[in-house]
Amino acid sequence: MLARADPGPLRLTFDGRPIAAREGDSVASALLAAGIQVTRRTPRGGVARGPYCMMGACFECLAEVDGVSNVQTCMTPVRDGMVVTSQVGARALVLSPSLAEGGQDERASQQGAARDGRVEPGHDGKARRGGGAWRGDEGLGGGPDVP
Amino acid sequence: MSPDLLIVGAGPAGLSAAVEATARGLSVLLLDENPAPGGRIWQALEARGASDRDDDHALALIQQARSCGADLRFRATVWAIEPDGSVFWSQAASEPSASGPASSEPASSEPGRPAPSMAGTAAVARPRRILLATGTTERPLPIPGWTLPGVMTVGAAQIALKTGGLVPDGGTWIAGQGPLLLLYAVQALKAGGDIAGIIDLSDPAHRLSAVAHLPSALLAAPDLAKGLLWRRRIAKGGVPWLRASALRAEGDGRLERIVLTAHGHTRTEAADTLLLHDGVIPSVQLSRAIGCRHVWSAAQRCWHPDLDAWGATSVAGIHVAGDGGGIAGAWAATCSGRLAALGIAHDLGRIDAATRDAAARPWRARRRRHCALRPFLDALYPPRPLQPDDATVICRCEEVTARDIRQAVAFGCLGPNQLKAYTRCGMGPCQGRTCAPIAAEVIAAARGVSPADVEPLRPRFPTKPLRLEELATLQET
Repeated sequence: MLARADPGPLRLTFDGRPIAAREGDSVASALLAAGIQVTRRTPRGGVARGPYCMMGACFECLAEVDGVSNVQTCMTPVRDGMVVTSQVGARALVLSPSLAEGGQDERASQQGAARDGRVEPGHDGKARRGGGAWRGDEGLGGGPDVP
Repeated sequence: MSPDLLIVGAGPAGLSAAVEATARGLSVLLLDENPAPGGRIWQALEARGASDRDDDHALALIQQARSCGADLRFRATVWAIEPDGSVFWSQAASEPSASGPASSEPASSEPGRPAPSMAGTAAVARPRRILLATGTTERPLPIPGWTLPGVMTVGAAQIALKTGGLVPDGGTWIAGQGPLLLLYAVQALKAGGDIAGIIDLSDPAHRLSAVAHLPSALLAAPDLAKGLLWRRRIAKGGVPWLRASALRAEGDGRLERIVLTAHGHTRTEAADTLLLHDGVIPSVQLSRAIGCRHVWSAAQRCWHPDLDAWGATSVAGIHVAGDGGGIAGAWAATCSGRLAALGIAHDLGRIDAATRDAAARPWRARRRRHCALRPFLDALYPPRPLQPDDATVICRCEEVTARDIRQAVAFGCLGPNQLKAYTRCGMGPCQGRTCAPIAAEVIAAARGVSPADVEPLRPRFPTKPLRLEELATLQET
């Protein structure tokens, strides 16, 4: 892993778990320092991905930051109190701290669906997860096409 | 907003151009995606402070650029440049908003609205000249398993080191070839890092051909000495140095081990982080999308914009400086930034040709010196042949494998632009930034032609994903 002795005074959360950060960190740096290498699962294959280029080129480190999905965590400076959640598929994950308890289960079942191949193609040819709850009013692309 | 000159990128080339252009009386708007100036090489240097003489010079340049009168905007991303020269860009708010999130609440002050800190503001500028100083990206090294979390680039780890002080803590392997790999290993060791080992994937056969370039490389003797010193420090640091001809990353959902092949023998090592590197290539997303003519560099096995002596491209009003115009390194980039600014100042009638030429002379001489080592390095570290295994994912965004690409060629696909229709390769959020060079190589090999004969991917605007909400803030000025 990439690590450091001084974790820093700032606090953010990743999927509800508290993460330490230093002033000047990108969100991705803070996650890596906390041993977190996975920020999302891909829209097509549902496979895990995480920071790769750290310079805004590869879009692998996308996550939901403060309620906004598809944020490049490597290009986003940390701020005390930031809420970061992993992203599953093409759109934002429904999991938010207010839903933390039920959300964990839902997330697990969604990831299971992606792994089991229980995905269905959307109108643009991309696989969409079935059965998940979606935040349809933000992020890339149109509204949710899964009821 | 209509500055004389709009510069994209606040690295060595962009900063130098801003300083020179303002000194010649031009109004300058400088945009950069990062929170602070310096580009990759001097990333977060103001926060870190100088640690050697090169850093001192770099900090001095950054200070000059900050105080030269140029309008410097950070976290500012250019997403379109139109044929009339209009530049569209978005700026993220860099300061925490007063209505920002409390520590335990989701950020939105209004339900369903993105937090103010995340929402960008779009703007349009109509400069008289545009200078692209967008630097480089790392050449992809698509070994099997390179998409696993835990596999990153050496440049990525270096950024984490520069901005956050992160160092390898034992389970980290470094693999590939090139000067940056050595430099990072030295920096990581110096910062207290613990590297499991370095896997040298360079082809020893090239060392002989590199020797031919050694006499001219001696002009850059300090740089050459630096490289030798790096090797010594790595050896002294006790980091195992292994030569291998092939490498694979494996794991379930994240990197767990690497498998290397040397002399026909395979060897498996536990790993939680693998850093890959095979040199850097010009970042040509904008110059390509604009439609500038590019030329193939056989030595560096990449495309770069076709530039005149002042960095002007084939499209009127568009100039390129720094490594985005061909890999030559940071100090050469400071020179080409100066030269481009002088050329533009002359174009705009601020200085006569004699003044321009006299001012350019020392920068040209300096650039020649900084470029002296390049042919040696190019010969020593020619890029590894990009012929990934069939099952290896090439387009990371759309999860297109080498097999998919070869199949498309069998169906008649001629190049990366057609490949989009066949496979969606290059159509994910990164818009081909990572996969386009690999896809072109795979297609070239499958067609039995040189990569120079494969029409490269033509990126389309917007060159970075853009939120509708962001676009809605666009104000005509």
